[in-house]
Amino acid sequence: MRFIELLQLIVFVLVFELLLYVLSGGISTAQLMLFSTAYAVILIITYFYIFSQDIRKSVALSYISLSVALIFGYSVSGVAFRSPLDPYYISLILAAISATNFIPAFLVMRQRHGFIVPHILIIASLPVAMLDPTGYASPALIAAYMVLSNSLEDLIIYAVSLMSIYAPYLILPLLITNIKFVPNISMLNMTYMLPGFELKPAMFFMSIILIYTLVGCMYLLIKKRFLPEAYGLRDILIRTATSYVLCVAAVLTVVIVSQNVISVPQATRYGYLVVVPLTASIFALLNAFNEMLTRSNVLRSKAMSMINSLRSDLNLYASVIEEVSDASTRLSINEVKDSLTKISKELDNISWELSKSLTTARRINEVLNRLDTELSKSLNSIKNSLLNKFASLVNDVKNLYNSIALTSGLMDSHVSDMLKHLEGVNDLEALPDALLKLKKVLKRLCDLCGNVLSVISTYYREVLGKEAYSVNAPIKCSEDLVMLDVIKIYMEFIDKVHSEFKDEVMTTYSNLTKLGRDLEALINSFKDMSSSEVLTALNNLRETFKVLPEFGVTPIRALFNIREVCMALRDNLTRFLDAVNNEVHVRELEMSNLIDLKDIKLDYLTTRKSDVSAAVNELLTYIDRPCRELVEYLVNSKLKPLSELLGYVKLIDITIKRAKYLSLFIKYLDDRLSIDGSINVDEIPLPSNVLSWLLSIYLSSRGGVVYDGRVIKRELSGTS
Amino acid sequence: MVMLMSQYLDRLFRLIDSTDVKSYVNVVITSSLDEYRVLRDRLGSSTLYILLDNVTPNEGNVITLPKLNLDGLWINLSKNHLIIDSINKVKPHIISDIMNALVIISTEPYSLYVTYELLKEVKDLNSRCNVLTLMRLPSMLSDNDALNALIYIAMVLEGGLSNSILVTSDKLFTYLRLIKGIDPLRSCINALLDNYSEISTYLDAYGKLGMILCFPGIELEVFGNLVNTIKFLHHLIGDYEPYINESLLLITKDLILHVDSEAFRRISRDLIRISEIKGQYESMVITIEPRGHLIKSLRRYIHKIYDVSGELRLHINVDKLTYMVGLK
Repeated sequence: MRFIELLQLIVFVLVFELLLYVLSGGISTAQLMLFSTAYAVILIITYFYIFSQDIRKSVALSYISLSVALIFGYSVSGVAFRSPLDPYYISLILAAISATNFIPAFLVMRQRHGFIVPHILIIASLPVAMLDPTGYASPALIAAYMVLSNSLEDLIIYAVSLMSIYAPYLILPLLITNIKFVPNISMLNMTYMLPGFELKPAMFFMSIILIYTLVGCMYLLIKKRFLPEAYGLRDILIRTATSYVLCVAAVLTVVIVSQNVISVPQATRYGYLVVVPLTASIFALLNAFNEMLTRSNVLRSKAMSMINSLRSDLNLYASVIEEVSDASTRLSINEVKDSLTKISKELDNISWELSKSLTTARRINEVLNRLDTELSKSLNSIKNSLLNKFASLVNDVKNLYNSIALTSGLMDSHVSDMLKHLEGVNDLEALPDALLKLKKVLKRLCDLCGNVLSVISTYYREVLGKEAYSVNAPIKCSEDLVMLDVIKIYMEFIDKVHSEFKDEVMTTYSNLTKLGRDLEALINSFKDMSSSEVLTALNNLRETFKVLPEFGVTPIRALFNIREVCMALRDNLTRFLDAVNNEVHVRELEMSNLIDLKDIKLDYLTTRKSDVSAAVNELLTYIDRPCRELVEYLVNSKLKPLSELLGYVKLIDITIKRAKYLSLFIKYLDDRLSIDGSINVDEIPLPSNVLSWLLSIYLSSRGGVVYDGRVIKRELSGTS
Repeated sequence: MVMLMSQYLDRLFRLIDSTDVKSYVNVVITSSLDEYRVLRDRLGSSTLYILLDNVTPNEGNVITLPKLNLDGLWINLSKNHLIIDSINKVKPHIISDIMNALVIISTEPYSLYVTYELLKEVKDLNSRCNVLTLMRLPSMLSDNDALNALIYIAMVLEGGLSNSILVTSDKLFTYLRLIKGIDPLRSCINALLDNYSEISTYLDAYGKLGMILCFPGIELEVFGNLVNTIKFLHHLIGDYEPYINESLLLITKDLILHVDSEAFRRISRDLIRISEIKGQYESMVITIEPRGHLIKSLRRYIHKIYDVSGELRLHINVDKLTYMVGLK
């Protein structure tokens, strides 16, 4: 509750009490009672009108209006107050007491959920308690509240509300000396007629409320744990009977408890035993009936919604079947149509049954279960059957596509994507569209087959140097499922072409793998080559063959691999020759600088170069021939041109490395000769090949030095 | 007593003055401008360079001392005022901050005297200073050269002035300069400094004296194997029957071998590894030998040391020296 609402309530109470106080001077007690009650009723109607959006506000204000009106009715009806205080102050005290009505008001305001009828009963109970001359109505209504509650929280709220409403009337006898002047005979009046026991009526009322609350709790417990939900008449009767028994027990308890507190005539007590349980049972009956009606409505609405949903699915399936009923789709749909008709008839029957207003909630529940289990499953199974048939068709096409891809090595990313998309179709609504897409895929596959024929013809020409097949008038492809058979025929033809050249292709492939192994061995023997450019070219050559699988190669895969490797082989061989030429050029320049510097002849290098050139020229004549010839040449020659080239590069490399130390070696030999006079070459810690190379250079560059019997020494004639 | 007081006063003033003098952690003493340049590139400007040469590089952290051509034994030079002046010129810069010292000297008396005095000063101020001395023996070793070298080695090691002394040959560098495309001095000094920790530990176990040979830019394809390479290296300094047992071989940064007889047999196997790493590093072999050829050539002069130390009342432990050069 917001502050402004609270303020409104307080102002209202004060104004109302002030008004009554002013009016009390000029009218009679009976008129005042009537007037104030009527005024309160008018106010209540006004509240309900004004706060129609929030009924709880209306109820809360009604509490206050009624209680205040009736308190004033009593307080100003000529009774003598025990207190010596001025009536004005007394009225203020009464106003304060009446403010306890704020408690139920707050409770109602705070309660956002719950059944509003109990609150209306509470509002009604007070005027009934005041005006009812028999005294039966009030406990009957109190008992009725209890059977209407749905939770413990509700019960407590009702109990506290009741206690708060009745509290002012129970405190009133403490202030008034002669209660007999109260004009009406009612249950309250009877309690007030017992001078000297002012507090006992209070206890009596509180115990009634407490006992009824306990009974309410028990009823709630039994209802939740043991009683069936209100699905039918039998359930309603059981609940009513239970409430009746409990109320009888409650009234008996109240009678026993109140025996020593107030004196109630015997006839009145019997009357209680009849009236109170009966009233409460009627309310329980109404409540249970209301629950059943509500439940029935909810279930009916749920069932109708399910029927509508099923009908909608049914219509959708029917329309889809209509769209895909083309015979070329190869989806057999006759049995599906029959199933749909059967389901439709069943739905009509169920709708008719539900339209009857007397159908119980139990029956509706059964119908719901049937809809959920049988009919939904049937529809789902129809849907799955159609989708499975479509998936099987897609799978056929996919297998065909894979076969084409395997045969030709040509992939179509659009077809791959489309097939992936079509494989994921699991919605019946998407089926007609998916079928159209499938037809498009088939046309594309058909085109692809034509393309494959053209491509393999080119490949055979490039690899083997032979004409395999020439396509003059390719088959016209269309968007139709019949293309599935056309593609199969295409595939058979392609296979036939392959089988014709299979042996030659496999021989070339075998030669190519052998070439790869030979090249690997060659590279390993030259892996310490110092030229990074040549090494890179060699490694590129090696990489060329790595795409070749060793085992499980089909002839067509071999054809594609051979072509691919051959193209790379030609490129890499050209690059290798360029790298070697470049390296030889640079190294020969370096070498010639060293030779010039040292004035040393190394003629044999140039001789080798001419040999190498012949091998290279031969290789160049084969490099542009068909792949089969190039591979055969390289295999038969055992990679001779390459090994000669590499050997030449290595020879230059080693010579340059040795030449780096030439000055050092010559100075070393010069110094040793000058100190020792002769050198035993076996003492020199150099490998024999380096040593012989060094000696040949040294002896050719130094006059007067001879080599005799593994000893270098100065020539005797020179020294003499 | 007066001398001692003067010395302490001198140090006191030096400490006071050190607030105005830039302090250095490293000090290098060398008599060669080439060596200075190599070390300058390697150690940078945070090092104090004392150059025993007339050529003066115009830089703040270089002190140049005049080069005096003197003969005889270096220990007899104590009365030469020019040398004393030179030493006094350097002393203010030597303060306790110095932690590392590298001394590269020849057998010239002047440079031996100056470095000995400066090392004494360095060690007095900071006994924990790490000193490495590299002594270059001339191609043709005279009696005076040998005596100078031996006395210097004995006095420096006896006085604890240097943590270790490495002897090398000028002749080796003369040969190595003939290899095309190699700066042997730069390569060898860098390799020495890179592997200083290993070398120092090794020398501590072998009397702190050793011979160092280095061969940068080796091509194993030319020499066939590592054994040939090392043998040829010895040939270059006139050692035709090398005995490298108990030597330390440093082959690039990655491969360090302490050669005992068993390990020596295994060396050839390491060739493969060397050839694999060849592409990544400059191939380089350094040998540190406690009983190397150059040290053997010095030991012929041991008997003369007895006479000299007796005449000049030098505090030399000749027995220890005898052991170090491999006679015992």
